[in-house]
Amino acid sequence: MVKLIIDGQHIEVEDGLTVLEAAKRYGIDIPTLCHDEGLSEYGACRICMVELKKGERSSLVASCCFPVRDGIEILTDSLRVQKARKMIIELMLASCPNSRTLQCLASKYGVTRVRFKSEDRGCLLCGLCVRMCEQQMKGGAIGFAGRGVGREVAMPFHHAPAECRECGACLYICPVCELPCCGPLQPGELCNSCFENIRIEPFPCRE
Amino acid sequence: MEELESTGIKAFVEDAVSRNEFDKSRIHAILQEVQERFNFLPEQALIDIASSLQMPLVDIYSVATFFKSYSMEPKGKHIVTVCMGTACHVRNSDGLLKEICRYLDVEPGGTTGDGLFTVESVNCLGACAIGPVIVVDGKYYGDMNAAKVNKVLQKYQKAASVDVAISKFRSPGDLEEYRIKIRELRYPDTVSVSLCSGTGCKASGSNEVYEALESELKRSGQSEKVMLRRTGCRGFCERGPLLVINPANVLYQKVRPEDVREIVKCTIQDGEIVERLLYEDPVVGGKVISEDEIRFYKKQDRKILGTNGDIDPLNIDDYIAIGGYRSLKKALLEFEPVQIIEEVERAGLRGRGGGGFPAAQKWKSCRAANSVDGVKYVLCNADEGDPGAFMDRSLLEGNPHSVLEGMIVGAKAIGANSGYIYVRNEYPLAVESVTRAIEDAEDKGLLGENILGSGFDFKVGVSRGGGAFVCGESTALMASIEGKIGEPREKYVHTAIKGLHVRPTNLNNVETWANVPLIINEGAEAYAKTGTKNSTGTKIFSLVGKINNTGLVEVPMGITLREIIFDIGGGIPNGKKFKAVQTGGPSGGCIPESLIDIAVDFDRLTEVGSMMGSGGMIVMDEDTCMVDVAKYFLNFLTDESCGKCTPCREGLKHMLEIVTDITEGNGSDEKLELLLELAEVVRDTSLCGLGQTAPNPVLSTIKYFEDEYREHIHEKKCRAGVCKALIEYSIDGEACTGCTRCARECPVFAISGDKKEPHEIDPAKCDKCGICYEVCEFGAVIRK
Repeated sequence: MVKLIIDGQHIEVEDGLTVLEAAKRYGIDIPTLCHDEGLSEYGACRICMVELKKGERSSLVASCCFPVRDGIEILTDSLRVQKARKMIIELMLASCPNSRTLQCLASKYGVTRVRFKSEDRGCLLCGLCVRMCEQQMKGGAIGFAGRGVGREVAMPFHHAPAECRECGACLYICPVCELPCCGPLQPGELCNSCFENIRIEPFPCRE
Repeated sequence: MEELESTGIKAFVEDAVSRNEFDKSRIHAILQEVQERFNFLPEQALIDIASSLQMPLVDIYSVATFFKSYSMEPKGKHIVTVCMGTACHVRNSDGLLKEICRYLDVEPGGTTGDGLFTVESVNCLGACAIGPVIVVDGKYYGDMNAAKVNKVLQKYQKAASVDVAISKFRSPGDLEEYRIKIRELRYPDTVSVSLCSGTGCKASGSNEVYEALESELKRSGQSEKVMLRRTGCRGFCERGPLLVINPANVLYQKVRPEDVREIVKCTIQDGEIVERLLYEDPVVGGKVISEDEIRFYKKQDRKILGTNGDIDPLNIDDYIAIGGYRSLKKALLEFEPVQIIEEVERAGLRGRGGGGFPAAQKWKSCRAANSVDGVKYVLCNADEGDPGAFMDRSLLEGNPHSVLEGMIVGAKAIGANSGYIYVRNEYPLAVESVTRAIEDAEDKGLLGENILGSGFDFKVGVSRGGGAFVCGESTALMASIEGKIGEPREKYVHTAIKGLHVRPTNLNNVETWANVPLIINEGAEAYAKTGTKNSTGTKIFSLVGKINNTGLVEVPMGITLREIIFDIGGGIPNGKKFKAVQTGGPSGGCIPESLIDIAVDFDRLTEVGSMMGSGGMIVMDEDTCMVDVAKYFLNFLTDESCGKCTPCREGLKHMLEIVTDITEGNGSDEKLELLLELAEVVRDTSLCGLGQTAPNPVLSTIKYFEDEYREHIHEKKCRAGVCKALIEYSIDGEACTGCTRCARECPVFAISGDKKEPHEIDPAKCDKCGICYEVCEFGAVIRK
């Protein structure tokens, strides 16, 4: 067993877990996006970053990948974490303004504006669909193509390969393909405003 | 017809796959063969590969689209590659690319309508000393400008095609005996002529000089008496091709084929000096005969690079003759593995690839790590992607055996029996020389099974990367060797514990490995005498950009920047003022003039907001705009980001957007604040070293040159005259003699005027390429 401190709570979990899993056991909420219990860890969206204290100094680590270790101290909601988390949500919103999941995260964590040039690319590149296809459906039909800002989820040469059985699992797990927000949203507008106007709590987007 | 094509592809693919033993992890080798054969990757080929390797097509498609060296479209007959490295950038490679595209009427990355040319850009070719550089079908052209490049391209348009070229030892006793024999054979009184054939000298025509030398020696009947050899880079690329004649120790510079007859007659036959080919010091004046008298070399301490000039990299005997593979005796037979690690630890060797991590500490944890089946790996990182750095390339090209020797010693210390050298595909010469070195070393029993009869086995393979800067990152590099896309993963469990194929793996860079034989031979104490307390030994830098003596320099750690730039580098050309020096590549920063007296070592450079990095040192003068430099690196990094994690992919994109706005006169103080806020988050939250250090060029330029940023924002002014949106060209009627040169050279016909009358620039037509400013001999073109 490993003993560690998360947000001041002394907790004990078995070795081999990630900080995210340990936190979950003790009801400590850490937001995630590219993580799914049934899939391999990926660590790409960086929304689950938490602060790892090292004496006077500290660093941010991805809780979905960081293994628990004896004696470590983790902060899941420090100022530094909040700042990073908000910026990451803001960055993702700039490329996927219509994702309901993102809009909910924005209202939950107090992101009230997007200061970057927005462009709806309809994909967060979280890779959930790619791992779903490969690991759960044993398909291997979709993957990443290109790199950097040009990276996209694609089928080879943009048509369905023999491996694709059209099972729809990729659509099921996608945080962007879901129905858009039902509130009175203008393009580019954030949920916070519908939160203000309609006053439904706590998640305005979920029926 | 189409059917024939597809059966041709099928047959070729089947061959290629079986040549690579149906090994999925050798997907790069297979794709490279297909690309070389067909000039691109046909869809059918990928489908055939997938079916013969029995893997999903999408996995191959991902790899093929991730690495820039692969093309999914057919390419032109001639490939024109324009280097966009930092050194080339500060010498206006952007303008060059634009001019090439305009001249050929093609977009960057595209192929001309007639299928004759494909124009590509590459993030650094490692020929920084002679920048801006273009490569046409493998042939390098240095010192290009918009006016010269058209002539080069015309040559290819006219010519249909242009020729482009570029007994086992069973014990240490055997090796020593062999060494004595070669020395006896070659050293007494033989005249040796060593011609530098590094990439820089090759671009300046050393191949042609070699051919001329060969035929002249034959003609004069001296081939037997003279030992002619091509060597690796001597560092002084600016003055290439370089030729050294021994034992007289004469250095000739800028040698042309026309000079060869005179050299052979005067110097080799009669022992006289050809005065006009000697180096003349531009500052002090006076001709200099030997290399060590030249100011460029005087303050250097060429422990690692020095041997480059004495050996033919393709000849293992040369390396053995100068004492090569001596350290193996100690390391394999006299030392316990732990002793080797202790020796390296006491020597204080720190990784030369970037972060300066203590090598011995890495080796220790890899040695201690458990492997499920006992397999451990030792890797050499030769994916030198930093634009403006080419020391690893020169070492591998010029002295591959020293790197191999270091790896064997390291492998013994760690307990690894196999390894890989991961080389960029942009370095074909390095691949060639290292592949040859491995074969020769295996033949001699210095690699493979039971090395020198010690009972230790070590096998090395070469793995070629494909144009992805991020593959210099350890986990991405390992993913690439495994045949996957070069995507980093979290290193919360170190690669020394779980690396390549989930086995304990030790990765060091080329220069680090080359230092190892030196430590074992000299002993830790002697080695540590050079350098500073926490940074021992020497470091090789590529000194490039706005500096008189460009090239590779090897200096003791702790030397000041001023000594490097002004004593070795000879200062800034054309009487311009020094502004900053950029070190550490895209992860580093710009160091201003006020800090020029700092000592160069790992810790001091980090303290001032830059880093050692792999050793690029790009000098900038008053004509370099610091905001533009920040933009350049952001551009580079957004292009090279793998795209996996949000902060790096999206964050850098928006940072670039903000900086671009500033250079175009659309900046604001709020935007600058946002830029700083974003930079902090990108540094804090990115997955790998690329993203974590990516904000450094921006942060360091804001830290030291904030006034330049504010000037762009408030006054809409670029004092260096680089940011095109903020400058204008005009002609001073008084100074203009009406020579018509500018009007003739202007690519967009924006200049008009009669002969011998002052000319005028039409601002509506002018695209601010700056050719007129460059070609005017009377200083009549004004840039404001």
